[in-house]
Amino acid sequence: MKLEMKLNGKDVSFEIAGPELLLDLLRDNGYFGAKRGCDNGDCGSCAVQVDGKSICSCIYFAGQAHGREVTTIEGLGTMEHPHALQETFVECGAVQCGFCIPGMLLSAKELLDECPNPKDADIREALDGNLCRCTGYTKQFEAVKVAAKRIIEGKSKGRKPARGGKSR
Amino acid sequence: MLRNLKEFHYPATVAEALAILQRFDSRASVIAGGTSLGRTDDAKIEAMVDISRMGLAFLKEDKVSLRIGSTNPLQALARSRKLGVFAGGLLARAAASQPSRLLRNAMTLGGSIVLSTPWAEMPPALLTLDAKMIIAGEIEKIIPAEEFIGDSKYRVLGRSEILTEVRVPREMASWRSGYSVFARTRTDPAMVIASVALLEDRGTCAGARIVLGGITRRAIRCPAAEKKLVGKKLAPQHFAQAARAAVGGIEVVVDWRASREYRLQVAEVVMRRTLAACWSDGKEGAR
Repeated sequence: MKLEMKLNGKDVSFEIAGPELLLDLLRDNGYFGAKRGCDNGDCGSCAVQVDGKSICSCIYFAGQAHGREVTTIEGLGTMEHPHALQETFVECGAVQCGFCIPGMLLSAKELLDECPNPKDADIREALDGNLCRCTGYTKQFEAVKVAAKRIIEGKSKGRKPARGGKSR
Repeated sequence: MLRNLKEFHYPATVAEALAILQRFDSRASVIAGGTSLGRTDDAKIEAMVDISRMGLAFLKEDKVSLRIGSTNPLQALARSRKLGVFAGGLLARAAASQPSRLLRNAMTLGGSIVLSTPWAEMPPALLTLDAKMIIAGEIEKIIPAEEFIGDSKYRVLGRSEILTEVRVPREMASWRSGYSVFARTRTDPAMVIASVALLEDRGTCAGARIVLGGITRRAIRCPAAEKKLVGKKLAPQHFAQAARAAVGGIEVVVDWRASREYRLQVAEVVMRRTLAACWSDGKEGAR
């Protein structure tokens, strides 16, 4: 069956099998940012945004994304022009092995898009579906706070749509 | 895996969705959030009918009911200001008790009801608030939560029926509520859910609706516990009596996590605390 969607701002179409999951479709097509972790919707390392809402792509049929807008970490920023969240995650030491970070960044972006000046409880709630096994959560929490402040103060591009560079 | 799934349909209206379901008979499945279907193994399913684009994510009130569309994601319910104050915020707290934002974004009210696992978040709260399920099919059916949630014949809807809406009586808006979840960890399925609503009239308990979930196969009302409270000026001993009555004679679901005895003991404690907190300030938090 034919799947049409907007992927990182570009109209794309794929020929998919009915049971194909969004995570498989993305990774088979070179979008390696979404990671296969638990394969069960528990860990959040496969998170991508569908119409601005972060979901677990490992339990989400590709067919559900038809006609919708999908954003992966490749669409958030580039090496040359990282998103404010990507800058602050690095600056705050929030990244260790990095496996959970794409999902966590997309969850954090959803939060800042909806709530530019989040309270501490909002940040905890926004990241509660993303598990990290290296750093704990303190530094990531701090990074989201700093990014929010930076975006509000206009020191970073924040929501600027980025192009879909692919990375492994 | 749904290895024979070949097509997705994206109806814009309930009528269109019903027509597709009828055409496929038992070979089609309704999908909204899809969080459980991705892991389902059913060779019969050839088509998915995606009901998430039919305008069923509404939340409105009429003269008698709060009307909640079935494809509202749990996250929308958890963040809704209206649900945050209705009956002490019971429905919002129930939705927020699903521990992952990523899943709350996808899981829907309808999915939580229809799948109705023992640990499903919404059925205990809907039973507590005397909700009604609106089912679209050849004829529209209105089924009380007590019947819908408690009876296996409605567990799987008719092959060409869709749960479109839940209606909660507006008279429940002023009741106090409590909702507590006990689980091994925050992300583990609930072993006990205590969902309660109490109505106060000049210091006396004028109404009680007490529901247990998690520990039983399906959420159940506890009329014996309710009788311990109604008509009384409530004190701690009443909550203890009601909690004991709530767990009396229930059929406990047991798995490797904990024994029947442990669950019963925990359930009694959780229920007692939930009732006490509900009566004192209505702010007993989920989890």
